[in-house]
Amino acid sequence: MSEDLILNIEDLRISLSANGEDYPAVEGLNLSIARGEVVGLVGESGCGKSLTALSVAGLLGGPLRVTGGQIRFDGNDIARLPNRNMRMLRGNRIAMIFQEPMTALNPLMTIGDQIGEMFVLHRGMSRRAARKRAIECLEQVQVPGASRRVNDFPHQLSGGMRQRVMIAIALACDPDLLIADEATTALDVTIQAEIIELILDLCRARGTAVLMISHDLGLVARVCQRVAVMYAGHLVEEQPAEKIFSDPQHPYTRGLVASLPRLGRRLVAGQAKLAEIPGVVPPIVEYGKGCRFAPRCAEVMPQCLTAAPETTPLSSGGRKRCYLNG
Amino acid sequence: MKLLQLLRPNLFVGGLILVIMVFVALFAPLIATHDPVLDANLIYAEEPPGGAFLMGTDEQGRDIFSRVIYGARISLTIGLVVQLMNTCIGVTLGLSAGYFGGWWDEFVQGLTNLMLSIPTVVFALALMAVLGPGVTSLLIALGMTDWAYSCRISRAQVLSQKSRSYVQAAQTMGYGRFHIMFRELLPNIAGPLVVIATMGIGSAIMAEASLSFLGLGVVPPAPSWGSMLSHAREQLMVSPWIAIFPGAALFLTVLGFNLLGDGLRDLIDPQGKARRA
Amino acid sequence: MLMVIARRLMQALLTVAVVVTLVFLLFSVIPGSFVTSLVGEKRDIDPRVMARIEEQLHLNDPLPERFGRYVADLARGDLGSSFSTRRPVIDMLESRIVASFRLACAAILFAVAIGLPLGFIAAARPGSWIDMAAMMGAVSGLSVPGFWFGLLAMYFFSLQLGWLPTFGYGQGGLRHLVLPALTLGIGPMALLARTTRAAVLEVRGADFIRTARSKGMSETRIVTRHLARNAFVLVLTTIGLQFGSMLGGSVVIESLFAWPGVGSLLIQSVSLRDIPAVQGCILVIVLFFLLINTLVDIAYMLIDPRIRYR
Repeated sequence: MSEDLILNIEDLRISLSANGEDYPAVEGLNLSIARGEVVGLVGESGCGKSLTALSVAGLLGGPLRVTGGQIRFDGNDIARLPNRNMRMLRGNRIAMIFQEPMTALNPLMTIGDQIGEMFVLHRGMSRRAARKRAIECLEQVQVPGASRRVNDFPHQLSGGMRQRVMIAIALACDPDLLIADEATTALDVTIQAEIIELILDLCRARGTAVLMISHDLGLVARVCQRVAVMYAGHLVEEQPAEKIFSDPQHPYTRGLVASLPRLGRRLVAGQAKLAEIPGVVPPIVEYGKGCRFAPRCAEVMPQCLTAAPETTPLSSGGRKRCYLNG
Repeated sequence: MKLLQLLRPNLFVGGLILVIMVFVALFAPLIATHDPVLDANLIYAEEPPGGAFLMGTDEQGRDIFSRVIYGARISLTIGLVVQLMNTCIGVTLGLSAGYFGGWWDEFVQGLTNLMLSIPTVVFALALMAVLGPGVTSLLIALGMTDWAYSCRISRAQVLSQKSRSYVQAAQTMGYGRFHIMFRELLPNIAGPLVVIATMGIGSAIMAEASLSFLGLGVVPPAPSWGSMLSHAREQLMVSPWIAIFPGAALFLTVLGFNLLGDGLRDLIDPQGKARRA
Repeated sequence: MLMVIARRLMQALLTVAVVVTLVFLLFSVIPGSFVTSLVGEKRDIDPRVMARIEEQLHLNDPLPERFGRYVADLARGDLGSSFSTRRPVIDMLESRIVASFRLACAAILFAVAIGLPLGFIAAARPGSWIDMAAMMGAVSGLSVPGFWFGLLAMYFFSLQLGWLPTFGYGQGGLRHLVLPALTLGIGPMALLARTTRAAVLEVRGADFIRTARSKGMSETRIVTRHLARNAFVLVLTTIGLQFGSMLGGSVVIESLFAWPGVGSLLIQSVSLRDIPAVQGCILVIVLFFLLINTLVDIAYMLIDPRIRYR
């Protein structure tokens, strides 16, 4: 079973050093992704989903460090791998796409050179050969007139185009895992669907697993096979996509699902207001010892305040971190 | 703003230096040991530092320490007056250019670009060639040639603030244009301007010293730090203290203003809207 | 791209025209100073002599005519004759321009060679003691009065240690160039250190650096291929501005070191009220500044593709 997993995160702990103290930004996180699987990671801003992604790619910096747990990539723990070893994995076998395509490319280099760099770095190709491959990559991400556009500079491309270039860069070396951190959030709604489709098609063809990070539960549940939900540094629930909607186990997930506006619901249920979860996400320095969602939970119980619940398996094959229902 | 922030090194050191300088300038008669101009006894010419002459004497037998003390008055006064003039011109032009726009804006911008093409010292020299030597010409020459940055920043700030609600509110309430410019907009853009003005005093002092060094500004026997250095070259081998002390005072003063300006900028304007250096 | 360059050149020419006019106006509105300067301190000049001189210099012609003559002379390269030496101003300026240019080049080379690496190193470890020391040095370099630094340098390196000549041009050798260049370059060096540091920090936090890192690039490669060029683009304007204003900014230093450049000529001419010479010097100084600025702008267009296609 574990040979099928390209990524297996166990009991991950990421600490933030501030004012001389270590704060647990992410704690007790368990997440696994099988080869070729598409998994979504959902949560509000500041819940730690980007930090988790960065820790897999070894891109945590400054005051943030992995202080516990394991990140097993293809069987090997890479959580504390020195940078020169991580460099060989990054881009080559673990790739990342970020949120803001407008600033993600070097304005002084042609996009051809920036894509070609992948081949020069990881395949030892000459610049000329790399450029040819870059044109092929551009064609794969459906950029029209690829052989001309390869000499363009980033400012000559629209946001959607630039994100396509980012995808080309990320998938250039056929990585085993692609982490897409809010890859479509900054794009026009009309383009979002295209880009997501593109990512999924290309990854399916290569057998690349995808970790799709988003704050949009609706989007993620539509395209992913499994969905994990994070809150305040804890992974609170993880289930197959349909189950997240039909049978959410954690009160936070239930709140999220309920707050999704749905077409025609007012007609049926006569609702006048959008449902919301009362309260706000606590800042990292105020994380307590108990369940981090307890202050806002409608179904809070005494034990929720004293100790955070352990991760327990669910019958659907997922997990949860909640005292409800045992 | 916490008081602890005021202890930032730049702010602290700069502020300390300036407080000392201002103190020295204000209480010069009490601190100086001799009269800076009249106590000129050739018997004591070019004495090294020590005894009655803390910093030695110059080629005329005057006590350098006292002259340096009184020099603070000259430098600080001229620096402040010059920067005040420049700031007034720059802010008025910049505010009005940004607020009114149109041909006036184009004109002011062209003028600003022109001013920036001519180095300050050169422009001041040219004006002084026309006006003749003396402190009045110096003030006019320096006070009218270094307003370009204040103008630019004021204009840029006005342009970005023009569409804000408080401006529109004032306009709706019927306040006159000048009232809006000077009573509403100006206080809100004061931050970066204060930073520029602080650094500007430093450059004004430096400019005055340079011109006096060249013999064109404050002329001897007045104890301007710059003019004290102008004859130092000839005496350098035998009496280097003539060069060392006035220059050190000048250096410290300008350093104080620069540090203060840096510190203020970190405090008031962290995004660097007032990018001069 | 050629269109943009052409437009920039037109702008420059326009500014030149305005400056030329201003210089003319500035000195033509001085009441009687031309003549009094010319004849020196002599108080009681025969009014007929005065009238003849005024006529020779066409001082009684209407302003537009004088301006026309001025521009025509300028086009021929005739900057008038000096009041003090009676020689053509253009002759006096020729050798001086060379001397000032040499000084400016040496100074800017020094400033770039020390300032850029210093700023870079400071930015590599922000907040470290190296950073603080470098920035303290930079602020001091900005605050130090040029002529004081020059005097101190003279004292130590020349008078005490005897390594270098104290002042003067000598035969145009390098030894005479060192102290003036050092003195002139210390301010720009400090400024460049600060600017470079700011630029590197700004670029380092940019998104495309994060992208480069996620590609699996080594830090060295990131610095050389992505960081350096982008940071340099930001620093280039400052280098240009500093170099361009050196001809004018060297006025004091040239006086101190008795360097026979345009700046020292300007000072002498101002003291002597030698109007044509003053005019000539100012023109040269401003034109040089405009030239360098225009060249920098054009260089920018060549380096930064975003500016090219406007």
